[in-house]
Amino acid sequence: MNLEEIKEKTVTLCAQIFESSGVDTDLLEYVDFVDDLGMDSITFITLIVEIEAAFDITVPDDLLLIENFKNMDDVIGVVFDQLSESV
Amino acid sequence: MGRVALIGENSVEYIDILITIWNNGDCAVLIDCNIPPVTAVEMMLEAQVSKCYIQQKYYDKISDSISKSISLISYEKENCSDRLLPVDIYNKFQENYSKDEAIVIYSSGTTGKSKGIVLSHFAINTNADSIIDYMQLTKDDCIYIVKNIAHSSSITGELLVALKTKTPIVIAPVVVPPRVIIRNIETYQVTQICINPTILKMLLEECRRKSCLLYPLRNIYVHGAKTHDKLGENARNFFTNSNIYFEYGLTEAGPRVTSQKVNNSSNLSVGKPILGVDVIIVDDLGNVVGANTKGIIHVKTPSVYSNYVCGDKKLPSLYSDWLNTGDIGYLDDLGELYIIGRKDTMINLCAHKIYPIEVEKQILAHSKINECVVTMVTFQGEDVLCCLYISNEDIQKDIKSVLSNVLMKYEIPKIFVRTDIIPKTRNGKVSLIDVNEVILRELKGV
Repeated sequence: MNLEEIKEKTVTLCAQIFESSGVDTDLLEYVDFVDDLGMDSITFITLIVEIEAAFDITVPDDLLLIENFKNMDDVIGVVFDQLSESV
Repeated sequence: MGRVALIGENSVEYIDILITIWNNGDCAVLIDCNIPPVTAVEMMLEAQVSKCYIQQKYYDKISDSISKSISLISYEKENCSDRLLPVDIYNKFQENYSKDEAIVIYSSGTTGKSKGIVLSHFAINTNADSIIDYMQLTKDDCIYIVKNIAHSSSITGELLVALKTKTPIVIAPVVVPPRVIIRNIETYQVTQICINPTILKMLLEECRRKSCLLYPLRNIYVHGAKTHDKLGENARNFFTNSNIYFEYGLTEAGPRVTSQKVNNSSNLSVGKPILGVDVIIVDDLGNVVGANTKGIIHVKTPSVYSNYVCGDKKLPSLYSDWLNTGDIGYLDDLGELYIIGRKDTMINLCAHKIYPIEVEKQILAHSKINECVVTMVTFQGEDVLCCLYISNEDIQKDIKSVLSNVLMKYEIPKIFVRTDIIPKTRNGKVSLIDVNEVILRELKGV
């Protein structure tokens, strides 16, 4: 899976998770999930569960912090790194 | 005696500082580390704290906005993801039954507005003793704090219980996916967990995916919010090796009020009053009502709170000096308590009393609906009963006819809005303010 495919899949996934915040999908890559969308602990856990299932990866314990998943680039970066390591 | 704030993640250091605050004769103001810094500072000012112990990683976020009247003391959390509470912490703990302030807990209700609730040492220790009475812990037991420790149920129902009975307790990060909770349960052979319905749902989904039954777990205590019947039944049907007990409480009551003591798969009550606690149901005029009649739950407990930090926001008691919980419920013939919902969330529509939870129960009986919230929204000057629901399918077309068989016409929501996530507060309770916003956005076509 290349970076563009990861990005596309991640945007779709995040759009679903943050649907209730009313954010436009086109703006997702420019917002801060915590400050702008109010990501709380439950939403964060949901995000982790969904990306692990969607990409068949396991996010390492030391990365399981909200500050590591504050925006789209963070999420894509973690997914990309984990997929690269599993190859 | 003064008030000292404590902000940090679940850690051995956090518990060590908490006990130090108590041993110094001070009161600990427990502020959830996940709340915005500005709100944390407001809480500290409201509680008139003199100093604040804060985990290093949160220090910078708060130091800019804090008043000079509060001295900030940062502490490091050991870089260890999970561990058992060490013996020296147990030895440091001193039982205290004085009426002095022990903790201030900021509880968030469905309105999202936090209230600083003061509980004495006597309140939390007597409540912990009653919890120990029904938990019946043995030398083989191990407790795991899965929720944030800054909540009254974690402090009284888990930490104090463990400290008093010398039961091993696992301290670990709480904002983790369910697979980490499952791993910790297996690693530490955890036998007791206390969780809210949101965590129960996540654990159930993960365990189903992995066909994992959480073998070491003896007891799962569920409290913190109303557990929908469907979730309760599914959990009991799946976790056949563990007892699932539903409980009821509120911070103002220490917090625990009732607990199931027998794992009865057909009973989705919240059990009977725990040792030393009494529950009655009264009507709007303060008359005690009989079995199976809905009314306002009133509680008499030695663990009642002392006061609120800011102003008198107590709900007036409708029966003598008993604590008015503001919750609607009923006692059955056996004295088991059932929760219907909050008095302030009861909807009065065209002179009809509608209990959202009763409506939600019927909607959730529909096999294609995973989760739902019923609320009243004012749109274009008209009060409209609405339902926000999670489902893989749009069920608008057939749900109303299904509901017409089990609900009164006025109880059937006029508008159904499908969503992927039901907005919750940081404590896992449904945030009605956000739910109403989502529905209004849909109605306005935004």
